[in-house]
Amino acid sequence: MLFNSIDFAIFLPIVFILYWFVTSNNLKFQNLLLLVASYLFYGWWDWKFLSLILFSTIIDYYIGCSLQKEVNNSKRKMLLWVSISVNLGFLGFFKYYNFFVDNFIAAFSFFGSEIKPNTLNIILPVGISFYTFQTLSYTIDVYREKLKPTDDFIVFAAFVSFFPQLVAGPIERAAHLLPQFYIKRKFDYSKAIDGMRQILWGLFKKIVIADNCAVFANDIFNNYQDYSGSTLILGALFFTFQIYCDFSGYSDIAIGTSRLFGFDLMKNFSFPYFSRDIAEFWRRWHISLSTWFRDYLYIPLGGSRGGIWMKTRNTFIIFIVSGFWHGANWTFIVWGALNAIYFLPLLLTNNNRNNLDVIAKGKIFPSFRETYQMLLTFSLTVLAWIFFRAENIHHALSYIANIGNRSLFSVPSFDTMKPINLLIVPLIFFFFLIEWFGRDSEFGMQFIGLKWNRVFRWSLYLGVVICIFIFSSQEQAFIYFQF
Amino acid sequence: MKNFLIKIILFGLILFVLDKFFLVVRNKAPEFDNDRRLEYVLDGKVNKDLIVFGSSRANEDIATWLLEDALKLDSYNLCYGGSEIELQTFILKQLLKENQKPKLIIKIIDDDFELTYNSANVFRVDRLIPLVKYPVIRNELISRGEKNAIMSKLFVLHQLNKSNFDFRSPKKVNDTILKYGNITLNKVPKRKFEWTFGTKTSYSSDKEIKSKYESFKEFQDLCVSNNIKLVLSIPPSYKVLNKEFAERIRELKFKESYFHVYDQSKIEYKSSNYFNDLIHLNSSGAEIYTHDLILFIKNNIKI
Repeated sequence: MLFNSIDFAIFLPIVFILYWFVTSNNLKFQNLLLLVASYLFYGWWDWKFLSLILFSTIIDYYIGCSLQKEVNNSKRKMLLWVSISVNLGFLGFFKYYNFFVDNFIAAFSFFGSEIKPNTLNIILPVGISFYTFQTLSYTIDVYREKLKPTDDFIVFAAFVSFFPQLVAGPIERAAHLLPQFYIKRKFDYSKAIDGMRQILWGLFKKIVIADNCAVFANDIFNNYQDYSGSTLILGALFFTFQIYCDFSGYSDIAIGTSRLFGFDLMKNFSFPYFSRDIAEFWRRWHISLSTWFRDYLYIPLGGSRGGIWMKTRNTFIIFIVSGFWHGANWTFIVWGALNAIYFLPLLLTNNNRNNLDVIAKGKIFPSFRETYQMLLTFSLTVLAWIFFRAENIHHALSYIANIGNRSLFSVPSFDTMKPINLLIVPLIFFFFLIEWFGRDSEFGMQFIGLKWNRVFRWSLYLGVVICIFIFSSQEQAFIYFQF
Repeated sequence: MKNFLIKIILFGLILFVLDKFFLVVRNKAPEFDNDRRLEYVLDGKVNKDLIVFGSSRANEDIATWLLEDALKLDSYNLCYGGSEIELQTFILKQLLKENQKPKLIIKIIDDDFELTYNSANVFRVDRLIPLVKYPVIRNELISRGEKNAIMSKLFVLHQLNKSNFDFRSPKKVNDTILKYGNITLNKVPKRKFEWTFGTKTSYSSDKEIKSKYESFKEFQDLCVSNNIKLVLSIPPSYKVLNKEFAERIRELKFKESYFHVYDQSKIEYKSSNYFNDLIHLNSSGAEIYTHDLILFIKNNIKI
């Protein structure tokens, strides 16, 4: 089920009413309702893949329980590896099998041996990368004795499949989300209103900005050979807004929905395009994934301790693995490596933690220096997104080469550049303003207009809803569903 | 909770009321459209004896005024560039429902992707969007998954699309288009084309799309059941005819329909001077092809 679908618009109020009016007196029933709703939400896409989540849940539940009872260290380690193997095994098979087969064939044919291709027609289960990492965090934390395992299967299953964040995160840590299932939830008016505002802002970002930027980005990336350098730059910019609004829009809807049910999910985006360096960007972009890799990969590898070689190795590992997590394509690996190259000088010169606070805090405008830093970081990010969006490495390199080769200083022009489509430009400007003035809060629209008279505030909300109606086309899946 | 629900319901009600003001936008939208032919169809204003259906080839390859002069039939062209058979069948249904039935229909075939997937020929939803004030258009958009039935009933805004908010005055339309529905193009290609003689001549019915296949049959069925003579015609392309495809169309043709294939021996169809591009004739080529078609109709059909 997509958040931006009519099905979800019907599903959400029904679950909300059952949750607060029918099961509110019994925590067990509330958790059971969340579990059933989550399985329904996922099964709406393809019920057959529910078996994968259920299998993963059962395995990790029993491993969690066994880890608590087991005192023998080698047996505990073995249990951990069973969990890792099962979870990563599923992920590897569904997501990377064909990639590895294709690359082995290509490698062998390079050396003159022909191998008969044996690729499979595999459907990637939606959200597998997200819930796999979420369950892994549980077993690893239990193994490290940082978390007491749950003996309530319903609670654990509801934690793994919690519908607001099941298919595209935020990737929650068990230590943060699991305990919330044990506490009796009370309806909190201000939390619910805030949740509704966040859902509204998320829908605006997804439906109005991301989906409409996609029209231009797709046209320009698919026909890049026909367009001028200036148009190609514009195409990369449109994709930059698309990817951010698509994914952070999803996160906003997920977090907002959770708040309606009395849950707090971790912040996943913190206005990353206002970052002053790449290190800050990565503290603000897909925070739940970055911190996951930090806690479960980077630190165990030694983190930023050790010499230059170790720092360099660990930085490249974490960025490349992070890139590869996004998809079985060399473009994602290059995207990860490129970000490692951006990040490394900051790390090696100990400048990676320079910008911890929000930009231009307490001021309306940033300083010249901050503006310059922000534009430089943004430009580097845009360049990296070209690899992320491209079909393959050749596509990305040709795209970049064509930027330089073709009339870079001409007025951009492309097939989809119709006056009516260009209405998106003022809306991007509006979105940018809201994000800028809300950059110190949880989400763009959190505090905007709160001090206004109710008529003006509601007019703003109505305006946003009307924009969502007018600019919506057919339901477009979120980009991160494919990961 | 009570306060929360009251506010949500109140907000929904305000939105519901505000939404109804957008009826003005919905009802005015057709007036801002450059191409009003489908609106005329829905309003019952296309009462003609001969109607031409097809994609851009029906636009550029057919001189409708010649058909009218030679056959003495009031003629009109309902071609839509980039359209496919499903849209053409939909328009035919509306034509028959709201207007006087034509005596003759000429359906120009897109070889060799009339029934297979081709990204350039689609169900032109954009042609339907300005006409959402008509229930039949709304229902068609719902049945094609473009809009949701419940939301469409509740909210006018859901029926609309951003293009409905393009309030620029429509361009002035050529008189010929107003009278006949189309205009041939008096263009000569900037560069000489290569005669692609050796290109694709095979055709596999396995690649046909079921909905297109069904629409093709329905199109013929509508003509037969309404006692309309139907001519299916393959116009020239700047390449050799795909005979397997032509055979396939002959196979799918109802016995009541007539099948015409352009005269492959004509030297003009091998000269790039008669083409706009590889698949469209220019005005001179269109006149020759239309004359061929007229001759075929005169020789084979009693109207």
